[in-house]
Amino acid sequence: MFAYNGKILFVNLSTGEIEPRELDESLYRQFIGCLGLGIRIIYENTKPGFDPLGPDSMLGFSVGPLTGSGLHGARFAITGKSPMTGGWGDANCGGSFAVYFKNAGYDGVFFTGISEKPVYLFIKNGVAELRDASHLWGKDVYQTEEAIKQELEDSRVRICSIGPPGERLAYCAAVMHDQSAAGRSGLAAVMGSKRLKAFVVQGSNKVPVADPERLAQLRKTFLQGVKNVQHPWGQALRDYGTPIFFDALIPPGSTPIKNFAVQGEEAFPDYALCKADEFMKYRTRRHACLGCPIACKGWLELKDSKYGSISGTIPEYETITMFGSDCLVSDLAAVVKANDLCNQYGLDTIEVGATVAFAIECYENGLIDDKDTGGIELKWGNADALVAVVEKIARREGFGDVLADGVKVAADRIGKGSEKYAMHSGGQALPAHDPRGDVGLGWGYCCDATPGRHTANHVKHSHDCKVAFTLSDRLNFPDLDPLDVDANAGINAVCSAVDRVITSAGLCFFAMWTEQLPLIEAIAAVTGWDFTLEECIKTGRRIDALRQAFNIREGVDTTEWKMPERVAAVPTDGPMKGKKLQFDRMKLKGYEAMGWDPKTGKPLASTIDELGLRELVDDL
Amino acid sequence: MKIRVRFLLDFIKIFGQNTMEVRVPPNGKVSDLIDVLFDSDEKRGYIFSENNYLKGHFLLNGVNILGLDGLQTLLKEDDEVVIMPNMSGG
Repeated sequence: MFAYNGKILFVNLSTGEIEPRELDESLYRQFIGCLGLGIRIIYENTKPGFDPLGPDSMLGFSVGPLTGSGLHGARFAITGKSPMTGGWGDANCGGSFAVYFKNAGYDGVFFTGISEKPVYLFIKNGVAELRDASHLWGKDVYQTEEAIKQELEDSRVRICSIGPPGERLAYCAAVMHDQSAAGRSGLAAVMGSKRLKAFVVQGSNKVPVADPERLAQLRKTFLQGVKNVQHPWGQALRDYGTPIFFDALIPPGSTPIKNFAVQGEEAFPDYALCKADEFMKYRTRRHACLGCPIACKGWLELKDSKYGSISGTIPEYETITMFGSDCLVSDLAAVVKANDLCNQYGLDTIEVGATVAFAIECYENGLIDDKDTGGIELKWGNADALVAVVEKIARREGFGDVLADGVKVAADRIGKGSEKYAMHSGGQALPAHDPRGDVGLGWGYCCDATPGRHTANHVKHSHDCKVAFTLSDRLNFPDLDPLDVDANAGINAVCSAVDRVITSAGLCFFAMWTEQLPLIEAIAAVTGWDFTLEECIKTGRRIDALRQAFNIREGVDTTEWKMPERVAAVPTDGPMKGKKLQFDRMKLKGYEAMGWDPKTGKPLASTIDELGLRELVDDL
Repeated sequence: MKIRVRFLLDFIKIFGQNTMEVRVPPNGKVSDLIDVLFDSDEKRGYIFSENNYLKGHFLLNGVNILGLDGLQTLLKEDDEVVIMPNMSGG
């Protein structure tokens, strides 16, 4: 077997038992890796109806066949049952952890049980040990990383860890690595519930690939493609990183403003203060995930701001939007500070930003007052209040405790009709893309097994925007009106499947906008499989169907996941004035095209059989 | 009549400037403006897909023309049209 270690680890934190298990190549071929591997292992090894925060809950970390291939493969997946939705949860993250993890000798690690005392798992070149983390419990992410590197006497170990919010089971928490977050689905709370403070890897054993010459050739072409990129989105990412999307998505109305209430430049003229160029003024260096030639990330230094000097990553588009326009905050320093607090404590900037915007709207409408907020004047545009409340959430202190489990739970706690201000689907906050503007992502909000995700449907969105993406020349979709639901449902099903394969292979979506990403060829080159486009699509459909089957098995009625009323409405003003989207029909036709029952969301028996899932999914 | 055009992102490079004043015939439509600005196949390729769906956003006084009358939307003196590409990322 090539491109894989061929084995995973099961770690029972209740007993301390660590059990390696070899996997058959056919399983990898059916599920590829990362989130595909995660759903395959977790579906089989958990009993229906388990508590996501209980001992039977299983939390996975996994990598893919292109991880460490030199072809832009630096993402890993975290998988499990989401405490936010009660169904399937996954999150993914870049950096360098994935490559070191794979080189340490395993394709996945799956944790069950609850440790009596805090621990972390350390794997070094195939040897895994659980180590005491009692002294790390309560420490923030920066402190934790530093302490682990010191005690292991190795500054090059790679670390995923949680901060105090994860320890205190906050659904807003994120698993952090290198100031990047695996933030969605509330899986940091699952990690905290297991008293698993960190997962640390060190590895130097590169996994052999089937055809190194072919891979080298593909890599050369890909790197040349990135260097000479003509694709507008690829260029933008290379030159600015994701902050440029704030410039690009405010004018057409795709960027949420004031808790998704309004759209467009006129609704928030001060957005100019947080445009990409403003952040670039403070950029000290560009930064890339390991092996990525695009290098969309960056570091900045903000000296002597009113929040002190801050040195850290440049906030991503999602963060700039959720803390900026969604809260009507145009103070760049506040956005940087809120981002830094989230990195330091381990918080998902999307869920936190959405929850703060929700709380502001509650405050402005008199549902809560200064007594509730502990004196924080939660008004639109109040930068200091934003920073103060993020800090409260990080500490689960006072009003922060009300907000720490995300926007849906906060609305349940506050009551008084506040649900109408909670911009979520199925319990998870909508990210920084209004689905009426970014319709392709809207398909994902409606049909993906994890609702409200900005990393679930970029292939469809690229197609809708009429831009090239990897495979677009081979998929050869007809040029359609993106708002024609019936005509687009089948395309969405294929796009969704390709999305799943990109992510499961360990790649980043941003690689697909360089025009030269050889997805199919690279998987074939590293694995030695005669991998085809048809197999790619079928594999992606299999992963989609099993994630959805998990939802059904866990009793989640995904047909009830709706767009918030405000987002489902036709805008009466601004750039999207009059634009009507049929979200209910998108779900209905989307499910149908995916081979799922449109009335229940349950994958049809014929789909289960066609995708070879019958043995696994005999309990629906 | 005179229309103010503001370019964003890629279109700044394509036209070499941020803003431009364009003259279109009285009672002109967005399509007339497009004819003036995108006067070659190469330029039209930036804004139209194979089946003539718009690839970019055209905002007339802040409103996307797709929510108005599309390319047939009527213009009036001193209107502002923002022209920008579709874009998305996370």
